[in-house]
Amino acid sequence: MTSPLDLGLREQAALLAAGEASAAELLQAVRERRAERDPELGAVAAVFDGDLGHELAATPAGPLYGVPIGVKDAIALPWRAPHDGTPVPSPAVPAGESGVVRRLRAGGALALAATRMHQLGIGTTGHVCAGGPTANPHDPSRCAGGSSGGSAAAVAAGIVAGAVGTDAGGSIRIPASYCGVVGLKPTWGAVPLDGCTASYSSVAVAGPLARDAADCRALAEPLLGRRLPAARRERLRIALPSALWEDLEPAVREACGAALEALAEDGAAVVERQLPEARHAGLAIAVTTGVERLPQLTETWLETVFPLLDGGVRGIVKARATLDAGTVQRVLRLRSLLRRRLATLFEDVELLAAPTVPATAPPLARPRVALPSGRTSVDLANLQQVGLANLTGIPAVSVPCGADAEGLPIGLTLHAAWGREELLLDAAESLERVLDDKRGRPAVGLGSSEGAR
Amino acid sequence: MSEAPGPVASEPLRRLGLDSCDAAELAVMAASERLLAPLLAELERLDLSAVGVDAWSGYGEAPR
Repeated sequence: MTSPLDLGLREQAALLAAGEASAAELLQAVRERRAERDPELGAVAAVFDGDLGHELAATPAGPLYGVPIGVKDAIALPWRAPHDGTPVPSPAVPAGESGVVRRLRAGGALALAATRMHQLGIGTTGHVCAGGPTANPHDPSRCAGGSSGGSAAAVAAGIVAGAVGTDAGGSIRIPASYCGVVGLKPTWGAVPLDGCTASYSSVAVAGPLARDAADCRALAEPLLGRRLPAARRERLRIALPSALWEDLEPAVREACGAALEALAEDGAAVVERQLPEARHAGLAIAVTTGVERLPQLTETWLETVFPLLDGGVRGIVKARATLDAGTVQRVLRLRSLLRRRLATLFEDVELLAAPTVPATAPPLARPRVALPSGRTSVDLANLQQVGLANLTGIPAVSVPCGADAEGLPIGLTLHAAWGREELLLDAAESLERVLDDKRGRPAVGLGSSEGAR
Repeated sequence: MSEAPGPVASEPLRRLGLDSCDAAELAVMAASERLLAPLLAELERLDLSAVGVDAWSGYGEAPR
């Protein structure tokens, strides 16, 4: 082992608990790993440079005591106001003890790195950020994803073993899929969002990203503020909503299909189910996130932040401002309809499964995807699969399940009923167990680490 | 939508003081309109007339 950062989250915690490494040594390792790998990736916006002793004294001896965690730059840290992917601190959210920081601290974890994000969270690629684009550790010419791209890339590159993102339209699951890590979008409302730039949202939630499902569980427990005991699940019933399996890159369809076959061979019952209204989820989440932002456009924000934004981001903010009330009402009704459909569906099955995104990570230079229906906007294509969980509030986890011919990771997303995060993580661990380790390896980071799995 | 920089005729944008648009903004707004139009048309065809809007908690089962 050359660095404690070659270890996973639980292993780092065990090392600290055994007194074989100190929190100061881990923080120094984060700084060194960032200096080594981040110039190529652009995953980290800032690393804590204050009084670590003071932070440790204020942190109880939880299970992750002293472990450094990366936190998306949309969430306030005691030592940094969120920048939200812009060049300046948010005028609305000062530095401080946000809900996420409180939960991490209760588990002993330290929020010691701020991770880059797609500007304002309006984008699924991570290629638009005031600090520069975030590249994919598997191929730095490709996007890390967004909007929590820095969190996913930092974990995949071994800069931190665990990170926190937020997900209002797939923003945890999409970069997790692109970067080959596990990303959990918890049930809406399960993690406090005070001190987050998206605290107003009816679809956003904060959640963990980690190397594997067990590490994801270890970070999810403090974030959700409850135990998520692991259990071996037998004969899971998994539905494939056909609307979420349309218009996929062949490699994505093949890898996700093979993963489900492996689960079926392990005893799961995989059944097709119709959920045709889910076809509209991508549009509905674009409308919802766009419209819910409008009251945030205060005079101060428009004067101090808006002129500094990327032109494309400004254009999207303006485009959403022109949506009509009838569209917003239709989306609200669609949300209700989908929640009712899911309540019925979850009486029959325990999980829904779908590819996390329809295509692997696109090039940073021109982030578009080629689907069977033609070349298209990567953002709208990505929202197609992920939107359902945000619209309805259900939890979902993206698990690496293979790679395409270029070695770019592919993720399968499992969804469960409201509040069933422990079931999701059990199923994610089952999936990891049954897969013959098909996931891709980063060009920098985990691939060069002895301790990586 | 015209892609010539300048003011666009939009009351919501005018109220926000955002109706003056540069070329980059206009290009994205036009692309967004083009991409969303067929999806919005599909949503309009979905019969939601009998669906009420549930009070949103995010948790638990929805009313039937």
